[in-house]
This record gives sequence, C-alpha cells and structure tokens, in this order.
Amino acid sequence: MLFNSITFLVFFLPGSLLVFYLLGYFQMNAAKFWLVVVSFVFYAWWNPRLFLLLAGSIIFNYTCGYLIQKNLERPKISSIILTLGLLGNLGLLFYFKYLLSLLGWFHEKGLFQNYSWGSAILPLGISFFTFTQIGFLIDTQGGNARERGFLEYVLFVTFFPHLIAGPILHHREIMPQFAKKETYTHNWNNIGIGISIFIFGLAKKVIIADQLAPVANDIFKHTAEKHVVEAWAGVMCYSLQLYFDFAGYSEMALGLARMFNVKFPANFDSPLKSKSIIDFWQRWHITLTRYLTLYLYNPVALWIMRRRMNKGLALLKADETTLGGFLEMLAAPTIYTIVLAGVWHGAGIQFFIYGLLHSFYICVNHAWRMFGPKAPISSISRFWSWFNGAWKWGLTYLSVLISLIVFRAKTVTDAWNLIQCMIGRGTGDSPGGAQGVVESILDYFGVAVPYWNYTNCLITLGIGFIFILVLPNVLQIFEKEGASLTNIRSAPAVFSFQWQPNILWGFLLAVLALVDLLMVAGNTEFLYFRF
Amino acid sequence: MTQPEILERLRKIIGQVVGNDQIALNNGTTADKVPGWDSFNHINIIIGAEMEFGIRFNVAELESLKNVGDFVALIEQRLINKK
Repeated sequence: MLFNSITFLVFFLPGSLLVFYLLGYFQMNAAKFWLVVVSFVFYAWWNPRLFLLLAGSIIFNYTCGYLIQKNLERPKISSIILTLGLLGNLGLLFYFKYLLSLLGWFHEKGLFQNYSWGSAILPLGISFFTFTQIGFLIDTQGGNARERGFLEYVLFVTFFPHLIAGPILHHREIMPQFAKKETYTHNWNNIGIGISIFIFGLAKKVIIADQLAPVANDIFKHTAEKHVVEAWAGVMCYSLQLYFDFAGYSEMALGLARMFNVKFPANFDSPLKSKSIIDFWQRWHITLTRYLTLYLYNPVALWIMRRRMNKGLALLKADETTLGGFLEMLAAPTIYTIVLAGVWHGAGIQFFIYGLLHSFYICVNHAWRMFGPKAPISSISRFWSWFNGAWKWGLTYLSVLISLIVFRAKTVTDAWNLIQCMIGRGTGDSPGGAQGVVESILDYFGVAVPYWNYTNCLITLGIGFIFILVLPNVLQIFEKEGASLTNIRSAPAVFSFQWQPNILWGFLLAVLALVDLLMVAGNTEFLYFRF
Repeated sequence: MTQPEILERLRKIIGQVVGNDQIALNNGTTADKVPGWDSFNHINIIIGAEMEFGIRFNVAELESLKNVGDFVALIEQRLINKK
C-alpha cells in the first residue's frame, strides 16, 4: 500500500489509528498486536506471498538475537551465532539484490548459456528491514540491545511507517517508546503535529516530485540527443525529484509515527543547502549514513588507528600527516564505507561508480580541510562571506549532480552521454552551446522552440529551489514541537517561521491537504522502493 | 579524577581535533552542535581520549553516547575499572 494512495489515506490510516487507540485504552498488548497486524497487511498488500518472507526474516533474527543473549557469557558461541545470523541476512540480500543480476550479466557475456536462471522480484523494503535487524544482532552481541519480548520485537521491525523505505531505526531509540504506557493513549497534540508533518511530506511528493518526474524520466531515455540546456535542466529536475520524493516519503513516515505517539529520527536536513560534501552526507539519508558509520566505518577506522598507535606511528594531524598516513587512516576506511553505501542501492556497476565518486569527493574535502588554506575567521566583508558560501554551495551541488547522473542512468554509457551533452557535445540534431541557451530564453518568453517545453520545467525547478534554499525545512518548522529525535544541523533559513496550533495554520494546512488529495490520483511509487 | 577535570581534558582534545582551542563544551553538548565534529573526527577524538586517559573503549559502548556528558561518564567509569 502506498502512503499516497486513496486506500491508505481514507481507509487504512484512520481505521488503524482509531482501533489502536480504542484497544490501547483497555489493553496495551492488544494495541501492539493490532499494530503488528495492520503493518503486515500494509506490507502484504503488494504481494501476499511477501508476508512469508518478512515473517521468516523476523523469526530467524529474533531467534538469533535470543540465542546470542543467552550465550553472552560464552563469547565464542555468541560470536558464532552472530556470524550465522549475519550470513543469513546478507545471503538473503545477496540473493534478491545481486545474484540474479550477476547471473544475467554472465549470461549476456556468453557464459552459462545453457541455464535459465529465472527471475525474482525484489521484495519491497528488504534492504531496510534486513539492515534494521542486522543492527539489532550486532548490538545484542555488544551488550547494547536487550530483547524485550517477541511482540515488541515484531512491532519494532514491522511498524508500517518505516517498514518499506526507512528511516533506518535503531532499537534503542524506538523500543523504549513502545514500552511506555502514554504511547497507547491518544494525544491530540501529537495527532495534530503528525497530520501536519504528513501533509507537508505528501505535498513534497505529489506537488513537486511527481511534477518533475516526466522531465527527469525523459532526460534519461535518449541520453545522447539532448542539447546543453535541456540536459542541464533535465538532470537538475532529477536531483530535485529524488530529493523531494525521498524527503517527502521520510516526512510522511515521521508524521505517521507521530500520530501513534512515536518519534522517528530525521532522514533529511536540507541536504541540498550543503556547502561541502562531508556536510551533504550528514544531511542526506541521515539514518543510512549513521548506520554505515556505526557498523562499517567506526570498527575499521578504530582498528587502523589503534594499529598505528601501537606501532608508534603519527595519528592524523594537519601539520604532521604524510600522504601514506592520509591514505591509510582516512581514504581507506572512507572508500570502503562509501563504496558499500553505493553498492547497497543495487547490483549495477553505476552504483559502484556512484560510491567511488562520493568517496573521492569526501577524501578531497578532508584533504582540503587538512592541507588547504585556512580561511580567516574575522574581518571578512559580507560580500566575501556570501561569495565564499556561494561557490562552496555551487561546487557541492555540481558534484552531487554528476554523481546522481551515474546513479540514475541505466548504464554507464548513458551517464557518459548525458555528461557529454551537458558540455555541449550531444550527438542529436538539437542545438547545444550558446544557441541552446538563447533558444531556451526565447522559449521562456513565449517564442516556441519545437522540441522542448522549458517553461513548465523552469517554473517547477524555480519553485523547488525556493523551497530548498529560502524556506525552512520541516524539522525547523516543527522545531518547538520536536519534529524528530535528531538535532538539526541546518542554519536558520532566510525566511523562518514556526508551526502553531491555531486557526490560520489549520486553514493553510487544510488547503494544502486538499491540493495534495487532488493530485494524489497519479498514485506513483516512491523512488526508493527500488532499493 | 572528578568529572569536571575529565571534561576539561576532553575539551582540550576535542578543541585540538576540530581546530578550535577556545571551544566551549558542557555535559549537554552534542556532536552536531560542534563545527567539524564529523564521523571522521569522532574517531580522532575517541583515539585522543584513549591516549590521554590510558584507557580503551569498545565499539559497542561508543554507540550509546548521546552527548559529551555521557562520554565523560564513560571515561570516569573506565578509570574506576582500571584501578
């Protein structure tokens, strides 16, 4: 079931909320059980057979967690169980996400011609619920998670607002909330805040992302035949589509959870405002970055640093670092983590390149911080301060844009073609370079250019950028109400305002909700359902 | 060692790592409020603290730190266990 479908909005959500609070009034466990049931229904709506997969994964992981906890005092045994648990989870991911693509690729290259490998659909949310449970197993082994009973565990994994596409939750932040009695008593304030956040998220999806989709899809279809402005506009549309789609989804999840008195961590904190790549990774898909840092980066980086310390080698300091030290302590763990983050998205070589590109960016960013000129903090004029911010923002956005071309394109050749078009080397009959720019401006003022309608695209892009660069994000609008469990990194927006439970806000949100509903008809899937 | 003493020594380490000697910290400070305290510098701070106090953390413990106060408490606990 989709958050942006009429079935969900009109029947599923009100029904599940109402029964949840009614049951919670009498029996906490009955309300928990109800939430588990509706979450399974929500999941199985796409394909009832998926129910078995989800249930199987939960039973497997719960059993592993239980056995690890029972054997914590016998570290060897608990480590073996943890290893088996990890292998089971990663094996499942490998089978559905990589194996068949890999075999298909061999087939294309002329190997294993006599076999027919069949096909498997990628079960929705498999990366997300598998990651959540892997984290649980590792933390149980580290003594950081305690299993609180089967029903609580199932609820933690299946709770429908996060099940399909995150945010990737940490049991430590969620389990205590499900254990509280207040969670099961209706709270009008939380319901109001939840609905308001949800309306904003839905607007991001249906009013902006879905409007950008046709242009973005078109640009990646015939990548070699675009002229320069068309290519730039199309690629920028995609960057905004992806952001508004996924951020919108995450906000809907945040709002839905809040209606059930549960707070989620934030997933997006105005990432397209970032002025460095390091900053970008701390604000884009925050819960994935946090997850990778915790379970992939930290253990390896700590191991490398300690090994150096024991050998008496210097640790990283700006004025003492050698190239070897930089490569070992920073580049190696970064490349390993970020490439895996890329490959997490799927089997294509383009995801590998996406990871490589970003790890390169991050290393350059760190090297610049360490070895580059130190900016004078005082006595800088307002203009220079603005200029300094502007070029850093521009460079960051450009780097992200290039990586997203690789991310979205069907093949690496497609990505390369599109980049060629962006520098005016398109092979199609549409003009590039200066002529393209002039024509696009003419088109904007109503002089028709036959092959491309810029006006709508430019207007939507413009509106998108106003939202991104000028207005506060949802975390900021709901800052007083504590929209999420995470702190906000973004600086205050140019125009700042706060949500308030009053008639004016009620009216504005009702209008926005109405527009949302009118546009919902498209019923389009979310981009991150693919991963 | 008292908590304020630990906090002061930790403040110096963090200041060195993020390149701001004058940094002001209290128990409630969180990493996202300190410019430059990213995941990479986080590891530098952990290693710096291990060297400074002659202790060792395990990865799992570091996950549960919410703010500087938690970090100070963990160091204090480690120092007590060391004795």
